Amino acid sequence: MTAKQFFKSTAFKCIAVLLCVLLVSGVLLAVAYGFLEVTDEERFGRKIGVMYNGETVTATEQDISGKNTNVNDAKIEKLWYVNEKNDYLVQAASRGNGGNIICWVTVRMRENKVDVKGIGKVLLYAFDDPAEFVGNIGSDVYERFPYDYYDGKTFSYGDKTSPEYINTGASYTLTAVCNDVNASVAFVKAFAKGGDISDPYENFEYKSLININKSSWSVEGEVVTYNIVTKANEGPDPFTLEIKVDGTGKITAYTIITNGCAEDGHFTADDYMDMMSTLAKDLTGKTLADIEGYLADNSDNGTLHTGATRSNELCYHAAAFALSNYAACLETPKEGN
Amino acid sequence: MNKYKKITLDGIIFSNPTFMLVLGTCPTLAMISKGAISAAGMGLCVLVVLTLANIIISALRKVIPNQVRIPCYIVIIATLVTLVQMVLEKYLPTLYDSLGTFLALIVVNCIVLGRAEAFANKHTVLESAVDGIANGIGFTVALTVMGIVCELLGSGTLFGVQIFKTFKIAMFASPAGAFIVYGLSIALFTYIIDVFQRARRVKVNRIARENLLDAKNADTAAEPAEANV
Repeated sequence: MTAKQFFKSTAFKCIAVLLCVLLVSGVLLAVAYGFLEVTDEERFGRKIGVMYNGETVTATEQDISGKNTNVNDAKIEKLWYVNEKNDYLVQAASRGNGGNIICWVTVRMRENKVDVKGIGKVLLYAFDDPAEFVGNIGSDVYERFPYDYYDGKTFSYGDKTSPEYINTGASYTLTAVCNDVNASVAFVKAFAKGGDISDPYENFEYKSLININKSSWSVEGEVVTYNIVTKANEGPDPFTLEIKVDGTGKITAYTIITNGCAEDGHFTADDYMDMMSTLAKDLTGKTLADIEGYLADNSDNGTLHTGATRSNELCYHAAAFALSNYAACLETPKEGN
Repeated sequence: MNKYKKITLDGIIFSNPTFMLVLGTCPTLAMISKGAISAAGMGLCVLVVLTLANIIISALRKVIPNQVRIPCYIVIIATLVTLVQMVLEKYLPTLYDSLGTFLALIVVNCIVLGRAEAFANKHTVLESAVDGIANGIGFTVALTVMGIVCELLGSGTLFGVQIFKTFKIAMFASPAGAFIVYGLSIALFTYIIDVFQRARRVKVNRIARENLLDAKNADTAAEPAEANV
């Protein structure tokens, strides 16, 4: 086919027409986007309008960098001061049933702008928790927060025997909402006074792979019984371990309750469980020095790189966490989440 | 019958895309379970996209080669849907949030592509525009009526206004309840059309019979006169 024949062919016409349609559509959309783009400020204004029933308010973002934003089981992400209402608007995130629950909470202040007066409104801002759980929490649940608030009150999803208990069928998600609300009030209380909430676990060691919020420990005499939930570790899911440590600085009992080994493209979860070091599966009788030795040993003959390195690492870190923080945990037991 | 009147009646009643052709079922079930406002909003969006798509496709029907017509139609429809999305997000954010993913899914709505393929690429721009508007109205009215029923039964409200304080059957606020309403609506609509068409046939037959009798009477009246001659 010659060039002339090609340019006269149906194939060329098809390509040309299709390209023209695409080009015109693209240009049209680009022009339209210029006029119809919704800016971030507009989006924020709309959201904030929902918080204040359509009223236009001015929210000034507050600098929370340098503050401890991990408050109990939630994280304070953003904070605004709403001038017209003398409110603080808090964006807080907490872990629900596998995903995050991000809430907006308005914390009403007294005229002195220092003391908290109450909760204005609680709104679910965003979530990646399963929608069926989030959907179980109706607007009536969110409306209870301002109604039930009094100074010093903290919310929990409830005692099942209490007449006030709301059976939403989504206790993890509701717990996350409660955590967001509690953290917002606590954070604003400290922030408005120019202070900061101290991190009770600031000096804890080996906490990088441990989910402290979900972990707990109880004390009986000199024995601290830990229920440690680790974080996921680039492959394995969180492990749950029960570890007992006594005054001698040794692990007296060690049980893996939930093995987080997970399938990947190469091996199954069972394969990884088999590949885990036998030591990592039972660290009874080991001391902190032993564990640190295992973690530091990067040789092929060591007990870390057995083919399930990440899983071994989680177990060793859990044991190291239990042993290194024994003294602090002995003083202050922590209830489970 | 005037051809525009026929196109209009076909689009709204006799070939109603929702009740007679059962097209666009997915957004129908999703939107009517959300209530009348969402249903009407979805219907209006489809109306706008359908009319504009029909006009553009009809105008370009002699330019677009047959071999690439479907990709071209999809690009045109997708562009229009994106424009509608942008407008809604800018000026009607509440409706935009309520329509959610189903707004983008208008691109693959069988009604829009179906009318483009079955009508717009064979008819003039004006006829295609009338067809788009008629089908859009048919779809909007069908969705709104079913949305009203679902909202009344499922939430006890009408366009968001509380009508029944205690009465509500939660199932009708879900796609399952919407499916029941949809099925019953199709049955009722088909029945009404059937009754109407039967009545029309009876009327046409009666007129034809009367005409025939008139013709016969005229013949018999003429015969004796001829005999006398």
